[in-house]
Amino acid sequence: MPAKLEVTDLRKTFRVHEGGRRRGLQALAGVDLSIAAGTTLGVVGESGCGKSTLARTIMFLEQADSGKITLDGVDLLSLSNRDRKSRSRRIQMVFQDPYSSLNSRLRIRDIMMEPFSANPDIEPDPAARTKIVADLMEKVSLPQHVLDWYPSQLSGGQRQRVGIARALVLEPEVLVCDEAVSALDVSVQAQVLNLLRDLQDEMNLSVLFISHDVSVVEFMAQDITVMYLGRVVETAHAKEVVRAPLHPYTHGLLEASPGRHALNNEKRPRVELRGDPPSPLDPPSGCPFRTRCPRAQDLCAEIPPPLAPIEGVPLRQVACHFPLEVS
Amino acid sequence: MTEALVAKAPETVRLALKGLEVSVPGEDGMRRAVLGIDLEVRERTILGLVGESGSGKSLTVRAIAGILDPGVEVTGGEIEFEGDDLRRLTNAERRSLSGGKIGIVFQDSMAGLNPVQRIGAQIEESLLLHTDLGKRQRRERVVELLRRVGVPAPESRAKAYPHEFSGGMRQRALIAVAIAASPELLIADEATTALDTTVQAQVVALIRDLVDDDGLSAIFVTHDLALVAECADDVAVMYAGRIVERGPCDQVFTSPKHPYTRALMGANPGLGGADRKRLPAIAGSVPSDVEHVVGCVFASRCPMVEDRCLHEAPALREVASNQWAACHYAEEGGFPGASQA
Repeated sequence: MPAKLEVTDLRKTFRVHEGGRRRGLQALAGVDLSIAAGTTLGVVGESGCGKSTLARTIMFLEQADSGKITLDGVDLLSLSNRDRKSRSRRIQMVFQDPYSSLNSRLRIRDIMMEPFSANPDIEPDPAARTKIVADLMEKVSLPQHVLDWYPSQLSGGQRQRVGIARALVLEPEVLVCDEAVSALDVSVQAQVLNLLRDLQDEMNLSVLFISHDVSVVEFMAQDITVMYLGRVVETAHAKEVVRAPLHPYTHGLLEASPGRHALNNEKRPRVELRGDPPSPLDPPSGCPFRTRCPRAQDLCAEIPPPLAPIEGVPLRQVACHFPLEVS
Repeated sequence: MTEALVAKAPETVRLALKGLEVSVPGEDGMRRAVLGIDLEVRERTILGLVGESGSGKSLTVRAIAGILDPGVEVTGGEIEFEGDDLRRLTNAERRSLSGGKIGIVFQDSMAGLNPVQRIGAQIEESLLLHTDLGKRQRRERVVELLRRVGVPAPESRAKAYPHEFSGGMRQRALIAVAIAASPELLIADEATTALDTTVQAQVVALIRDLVDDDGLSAIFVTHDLALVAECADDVAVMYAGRIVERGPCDQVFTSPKHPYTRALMGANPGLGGADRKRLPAIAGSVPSDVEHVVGCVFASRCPMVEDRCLHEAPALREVASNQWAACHYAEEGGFPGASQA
């Protein structure tokens, strides 16, 4: 299947001031990933792993330092601003916080119309615009009268439905969801996850689904990419990752996912990963994960392991000198 | 013979809520947000108190710790801690209990710590208030406590300020403050919600150690049923200010008797839901007026709802050994008509 969206060696370093010194914080240290048309790629990792920077860079909310963001074979970073704008609007985003991502002074109708004002050439006919917005409200199961409401009159789940509907106004082909259900209660989260899956089927969307919650990603995604300190450490089909992780970090992340050891006799979660990830201001030499890795050897401190394909397993890639066994 | 007797000795209840009611100020007077709940926390166990936003779980534990916001009041029932009714204590007695015998840790570790005071000094303050230790002993105890909660290099880290700690380390420091005076009950109110799952697992394992090794009891308040299934001995599920089901974790999770418990489990992708094509979501949302509900409080969202549920509120009753549920059909596992089928 051809890739809808492909990211190649994407890099982004932020300049930060610390203790009077200017330093570089490498948020993306060469990220590679690819989303097949009509599928969902889940991105998981702890806070600080660069997953939100990845989303913001793909959305051009941050300027990448180098690398490629390829949509349908065209590298968006190599285009002029104008050409890029007309193509990049085919990628839209659903934000995490349904409270701060909607302008509280605008009615839902105006919030839904905003993408048209930003892209006036797309659908100049006001009647057609109204129709598109009305249809989308129905798609996300919100009654039409909500269009006259302000965000404060909506529950968290309803706001996130508005956030999703707004992202669909310009008929995107790629949807980037950054922690889109993290702020919601479990019962509402399930409703929104089901909605996203239905919309994806209906509209043949390709989705980049970013979350810290492995089980949510496992539910949503066909493929999973695991990030650590600005790098991809493992990519594979979701079922394979969960059944038999190859990277020790993926294994630790899965072990820590709540519910995997439900009703165990010790009544305690398994703790495989100790401490926090190191600061991206001061990443370890060699493999970034070696300071927390139970399998680390001398080699890991010297040479960073490249992200390499696993023979005989399509899509599967792992960046580790001593990966776990393929079972 | 004697061993068997000891093993079978009745477990001591450390905390018991009897008909606890908490009211919050509303537009026209006080309205009840926790509506008469009964609950027990056994010695050396963790109780998982689960509910979605607005269920009243935080109000419940804040009432236990005596730290309700101004205007919010306990308006009925008893809070029995080691045999005393906490509601009868004087303010001074109450204050020495909170932070002394009852420790509490919240979600927001930055708000729980004073940003301009060193971590060690904040732990020492708790020792100063609740123990008779001398200055030197207090210093030693601070280092001991930081080591206990898993802060590396405790001697030097005691001198650090909160912003120099990571989120997980701050949460550990807060636990050190909460257990400084050797409490008997530790309350963790969404204490791990903002943490990464890897760090969450570490902090929850620490709470389990404190319960197993140091003999604490703990109330673990969370919205995440999957986490409770991993670490708690008992579970109580709250909905709209009421307990709808409670009992031993193993029993409740393998055989839930209330449709809400079952629905919460189904909606949680962490509890085996990730394989499914769709998550069984719970339609609708919590009623806005939880106080004046006719019939069962879950009826408006219950997939099993029957006519009776709309008129008659089900009582919370023991439907299996130690397992309590408030559903007319709890004896049939929350499925109306299951016994005839």
